[in-house]
Amino acid sequence: MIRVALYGIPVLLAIYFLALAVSPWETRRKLRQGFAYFAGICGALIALIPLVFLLYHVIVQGLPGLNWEFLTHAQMPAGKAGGGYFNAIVGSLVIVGLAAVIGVPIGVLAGLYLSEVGKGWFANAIRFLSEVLTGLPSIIAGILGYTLIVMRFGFSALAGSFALSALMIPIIARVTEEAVRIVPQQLREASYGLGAGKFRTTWSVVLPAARSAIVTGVILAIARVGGETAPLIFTALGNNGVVWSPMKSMSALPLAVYTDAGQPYDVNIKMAVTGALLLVLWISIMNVVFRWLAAKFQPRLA
Amino acid sequence: MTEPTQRTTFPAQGNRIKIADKLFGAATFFGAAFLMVVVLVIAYQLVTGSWAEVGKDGTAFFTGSDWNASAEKYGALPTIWGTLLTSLIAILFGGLTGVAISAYLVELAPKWLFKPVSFLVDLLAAIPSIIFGLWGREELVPYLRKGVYPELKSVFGWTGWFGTENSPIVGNGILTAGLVLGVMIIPTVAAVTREMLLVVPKTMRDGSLALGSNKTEALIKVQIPYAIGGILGGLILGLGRALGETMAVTMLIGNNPVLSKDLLGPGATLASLIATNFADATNNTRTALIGLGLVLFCFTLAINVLARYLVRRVRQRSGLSA
Repeated sequence: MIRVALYGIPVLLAIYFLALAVSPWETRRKLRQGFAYFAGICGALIALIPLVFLLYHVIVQGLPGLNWEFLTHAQMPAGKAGGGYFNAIVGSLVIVGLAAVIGVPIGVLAGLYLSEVGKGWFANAIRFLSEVLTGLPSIIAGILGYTLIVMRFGFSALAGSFALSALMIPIIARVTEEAVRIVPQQLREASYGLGAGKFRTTWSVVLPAARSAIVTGVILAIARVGGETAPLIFTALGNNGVVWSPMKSMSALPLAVYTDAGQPYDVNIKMAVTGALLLVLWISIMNVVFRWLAAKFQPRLA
Repeated sequence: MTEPTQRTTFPAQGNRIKIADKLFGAATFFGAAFLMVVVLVIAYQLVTGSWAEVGKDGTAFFTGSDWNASAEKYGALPTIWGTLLTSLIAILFGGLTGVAISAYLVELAPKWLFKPVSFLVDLLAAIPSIIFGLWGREELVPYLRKGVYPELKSVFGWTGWFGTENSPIVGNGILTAGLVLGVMIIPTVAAVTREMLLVVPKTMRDGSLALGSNKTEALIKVQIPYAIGGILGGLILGLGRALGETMAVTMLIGNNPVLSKDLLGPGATLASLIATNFADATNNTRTALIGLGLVLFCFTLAINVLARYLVRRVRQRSGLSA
């Protein structure tokens, strides 16, 4: 089967080009048209087949393990059956929540600076650095958390939150900048005309008008960093116990999936897949909420 | 009696407005400055954190072909090679796929396909890297090991790129990691291509159609050339994502930093070696790993700047703001 494909695809391509070369102009145009449709459909299939298989695998393998015990019990030592991911769920909530507490205000302020306040080369420099930060590999955010916090205070959830917030800030800054920018200038001018200053105008007029777009951007950013593993491996480190203090090492959903997937025992692999299912559920719920919000609060100012 | 009260409150209110505006300006400046400081601190930490190793070895760190942590030999070349190779496979496989999908959806496909397929492709972007890794290891690797790689080796083994004489086929390896990376960057490339094709002025396409070209010819000869800079930018953006992608690669590549052109054999990327070894490394090894982080940072920095420049140029030409 595969061998047929390996030989067949080059042969078919050769036949196609041969046919192109010998056929008259009108047929050649039709052949090209047909080939373009074929390539487009193939492309769509290449993208969607892995998606379907992946979701199918995670749901079918993960669903049997998704029970009350999984949600309310902490992880067992490697190789032991039973237990759940309660510690990881708590960890994800604490780490991502803390990251949002650091990242959201900074991101929104930076976005406001870019659209409302800053001008000239300094604003351009900030915009450039924001783009740099958007493309930052998540593992480097982990190194940042390690060198800044772990080297001084030891492995802690706080270091992980800090690393995640570095990934959140540029996303939120960009979303805020774009959302605020499409607020019509007349609204601002009306506000200034009534005697309001820049702060009052932004706070009472511009931000409410842009609120829904900013909120959806924040949710998107939270969903994105909620699935990140790389920044947490050597900052939050992981912990089988249920921990609430951000100064201690802590597990998180993606982290628990990663460590369990690396164990040689079947029970751990099963747990990891169930954890992956939970992660997919969480992220798709966030995404649905995001899309619903975006649809419901379409900016009424075109 | 109203006049004096107005006189006394007006300047006071004016002062309050001024103070509030000053504070507001300062607060937003703080946010912007924080963002800047984060980038600068990352650069600073990467350089100083790795200097003990990179400064000592100099260029030998970047060109050394041997990475052996227990012998304290640190050469970055095998991981740079692994990173470039997996990303190249990803861009050939996923990049072209992404462009094809978007070109098809925007121009050729029936209208009702556009929304659902775009939604599903975007959904691909929302799936965490770790889940790609888990699925790849549990489902894809066994399949490739049994069904595909032996065939690939017997057909193309003579090139030297697909398996060597006496190496067993394990399924984990550079090609596996590259293919999964390819699937992961499809949404990035597809989204940028989609946007770039949508900002091509409709008059250009209509003009081409009016001259008698069919849809494919309008697409290939008019619309894609107009947006080519932005599409290239999207491809490079995908490349940047592939370079820095960590978890899926870590779980699929085999993590053996060797310099080999065998795509079916194990390798390591900059990110995967950091991810697997950082937590329990010795101090010297950790310094060298931060050096790998520095290399990765420079790569992605250069690539993102280039990509965004290209995308912005197309947007500006179409009259959209950056």
